[in-house]
Amino acid sequence: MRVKRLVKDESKCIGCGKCEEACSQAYFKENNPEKSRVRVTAMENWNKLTICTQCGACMEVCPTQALKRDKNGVVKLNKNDCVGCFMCVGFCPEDAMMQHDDEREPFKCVACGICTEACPTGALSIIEF
Amino acid sequence: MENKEMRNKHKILMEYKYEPKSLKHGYTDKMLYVNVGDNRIEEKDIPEEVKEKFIGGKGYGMRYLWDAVNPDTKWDSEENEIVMSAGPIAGITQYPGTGKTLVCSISPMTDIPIDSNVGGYVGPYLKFSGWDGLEIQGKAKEDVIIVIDGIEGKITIETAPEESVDGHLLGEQLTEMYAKDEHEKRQISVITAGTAAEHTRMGILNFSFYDIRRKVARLKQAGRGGLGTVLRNKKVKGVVVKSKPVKGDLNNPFDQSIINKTGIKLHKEIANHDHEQNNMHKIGTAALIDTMIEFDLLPVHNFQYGTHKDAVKMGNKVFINKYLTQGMVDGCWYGCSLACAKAVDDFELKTGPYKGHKVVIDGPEYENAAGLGANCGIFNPETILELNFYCDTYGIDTISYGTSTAFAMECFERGIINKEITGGLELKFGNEEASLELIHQMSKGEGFGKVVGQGIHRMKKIFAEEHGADPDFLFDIGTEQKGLEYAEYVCKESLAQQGGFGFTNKGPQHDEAWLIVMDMVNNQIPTFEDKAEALHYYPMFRTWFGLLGLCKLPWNDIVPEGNAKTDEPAKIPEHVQNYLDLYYGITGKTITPEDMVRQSEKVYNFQRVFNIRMGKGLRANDKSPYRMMGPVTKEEYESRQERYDSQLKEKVGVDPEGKSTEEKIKILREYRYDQYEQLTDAVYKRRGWSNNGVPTKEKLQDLGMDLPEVLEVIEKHL
Amino acid sequence: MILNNEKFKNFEEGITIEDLIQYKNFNRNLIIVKINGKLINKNDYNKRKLKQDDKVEIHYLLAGG
Repeated sequence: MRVKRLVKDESKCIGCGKCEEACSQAYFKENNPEKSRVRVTAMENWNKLTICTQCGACMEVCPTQALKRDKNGVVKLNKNDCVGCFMCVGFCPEDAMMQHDDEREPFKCVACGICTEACPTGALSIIEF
Repeated sequence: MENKEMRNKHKILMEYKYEPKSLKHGYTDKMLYVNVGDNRIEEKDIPEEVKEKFIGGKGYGMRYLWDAVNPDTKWDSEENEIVMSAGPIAGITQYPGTGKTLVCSISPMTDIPIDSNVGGYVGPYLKFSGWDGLEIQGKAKEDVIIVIDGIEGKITIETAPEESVDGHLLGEQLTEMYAKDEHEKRQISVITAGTAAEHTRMGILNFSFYDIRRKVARLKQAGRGGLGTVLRNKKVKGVVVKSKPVKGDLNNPFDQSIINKTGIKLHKEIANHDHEQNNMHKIGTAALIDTMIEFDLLPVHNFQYGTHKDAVKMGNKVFINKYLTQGMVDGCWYGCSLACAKAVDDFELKTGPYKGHKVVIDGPEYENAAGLGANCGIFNPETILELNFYCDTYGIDTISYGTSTAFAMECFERGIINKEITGGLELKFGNEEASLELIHQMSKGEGFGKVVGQGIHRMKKIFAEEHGADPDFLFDIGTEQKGLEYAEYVCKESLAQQGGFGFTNKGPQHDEAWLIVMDMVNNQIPTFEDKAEALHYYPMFRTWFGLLGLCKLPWNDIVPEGNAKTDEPAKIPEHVQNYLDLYYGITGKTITPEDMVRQSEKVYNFQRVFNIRMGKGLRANDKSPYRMMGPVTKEEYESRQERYDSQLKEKVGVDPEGKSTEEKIKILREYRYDQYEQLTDAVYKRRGWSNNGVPTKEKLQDLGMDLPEVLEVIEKHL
Repeated sequence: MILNNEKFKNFEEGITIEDLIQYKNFNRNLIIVKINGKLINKNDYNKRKLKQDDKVEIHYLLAGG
């Protein structure tokens, strides 16, 4: 099946954080990197980008099947079914399932593309494959 | 009959409407009391003093049971109660192993209080429905169910004439009956027993949880002590608990963030390391089978031996590769990433009333494989699985069944009983058909199955009185203590584990102390004082979990990086801190590891005095049958001759040269009895008990448990 | 040399942890090794030579029950 997902090119990332700002603003109405579904981490001489690859590992550990792929292959969380156990957060191989204490449920990238538009260097883009 | 039709035949005997109280810091402070004899439903406020001293879980169980019964109460008296409670931490979803309930009653096996530990969703769902615990007292006139609807705020006692009794059917029927649709099934948890619980003393309670992938009600067990027998004696078929949808903060914790952080930390630890350690995710507790074989600790032929040439046929790889479904989400409460509740799917049963049916089998846990299988000389995994299934649905304790059957088989092999007595059953070790026949007899209440279902304690009496067996030999090989069968570990060479079993409040169950490797393999506790210290710390620490609603497997079946470098790796200090953090997160109270032990000691000593009150809490009751202490027979001695001969030489100071096996057995036996007595002295001293095993007034005062009713009991013995 | 709280009978100066593991048939995947209270890395099992007055602990850290 086709899967829509973010891809990254860390060599282009300048660490400006505009992706985090755009994402958290869109989904939580605040400018807060801790509430962004994409993360930038400054490393010694490069910037690490944490993104969800829509691999589906989270779906496999969810006890309520609250995580499901939509028609674009994007793994989405149905908050109503989520019991807030955070096993998905613990088992995500990319550390891309996010958790913040203000929220009962975790949150993840839904490949919406808002961060790719905010990114000034093209370090982030959306593809379908 | 369709579920709908069955429900229409219910008569509502009593209905109680209430406003479900929300949890605050892990508690509602309300106990639900249901009397099925006179159809009374009452709400009790749990006093602050009870909460402070008893915490929850087994603590509440023991407190409320004490108040319900008197020293003459028997398991089938009207006033006997089944009390169940989870505990303040139960019901959080973020940390593995937080859904456990402790169930207490006067046991049909031991005549003293039993406390039994069980997963599934009942405990948390009772809490979310407004109840820190449930008491069931009295005896109904006809089969009833109790329905606790935490969404509507309604409790009913209803007749349930048409529903099945067997666990796997009743679990499905009641789940479907009380859920408005498929999606709501996950909000239902059911307690059942089974048909064999009506004809044996070793009945269990099944606590269900709905498996949404398999679309089936899975069963976890409160296995030890005969709770299912009590339930069926009360003519209660089942209990249904229906909860509102689950969220991670229903306990209204004091500090949610520390709970979140600690939970995610452990999920990551398990994700990264479980496969390198015990592999619980893939095989569950059956992972222990290979280890026990390696150390010569797997019970074979009623604990005579520690391994068998065919043991490999039931080894780990067989279960992982051939039977256990991989890749499912197998926690028995939300958030358990250790997920040891493995199952076998689409297993076609070969015998019994459900022959030909394809079923889901919950298990096998290690105890099932060891008890139903190896201890009985059975190494066929499919027979083990079939026995596992029938034990669950018929409502029988797999440990008591396995050990009792092993005992009966040894008696048959030695000519103590014969085919005339067994009604034609060739009860030799390894006879799979015979074991399966026994279990079906237990369900039907006929044949020799009824005798085995009485348990070893009563079988010894029957065989001596009715069949002229030598009572001393039966005492030696009768692998029970206080009336309860031993759990599946060959502790012959581990004095510490003999004590671990022998001093346990409920009877020889391994929940209190599992010291066998630390002692026998690692020799980490060589002196009496070392052993006594371990037999103080570990039982107190391990039973703390049962006050809080916690499973102890995530404490030590997974260890964090760097654990080996700590001072006491066996205590898993980082995990101990996790539990202190969870306790703080829920209650807002900061406690230390010493406080944990103290909280547990209070309830532990109360339970010990309760045992004394009911007739079995003294030194004489803590003794062990010799089969669990050393070689009873020539064959046993000779199977470990090198070990025993060198012990005679080095520890006893006797030269084995030129002595017959019988003479050597006698000498070794005297030595080991003396060792056990010395251990008993050391343990009682460390625990603050008199030389007769009675908690002293000073100890009780120190713990704040010098309650008048407690002192009244001990005064007679001091 | 003391091994797991018992005098080790067949001690020879200069034997290594690796030698002990083989001799006593320990399962190297499940053990932790300490010499005089200090944790020894797996890589050093065949390097560290033992002395007469060493106190060795080779423990299985096993859960159970």
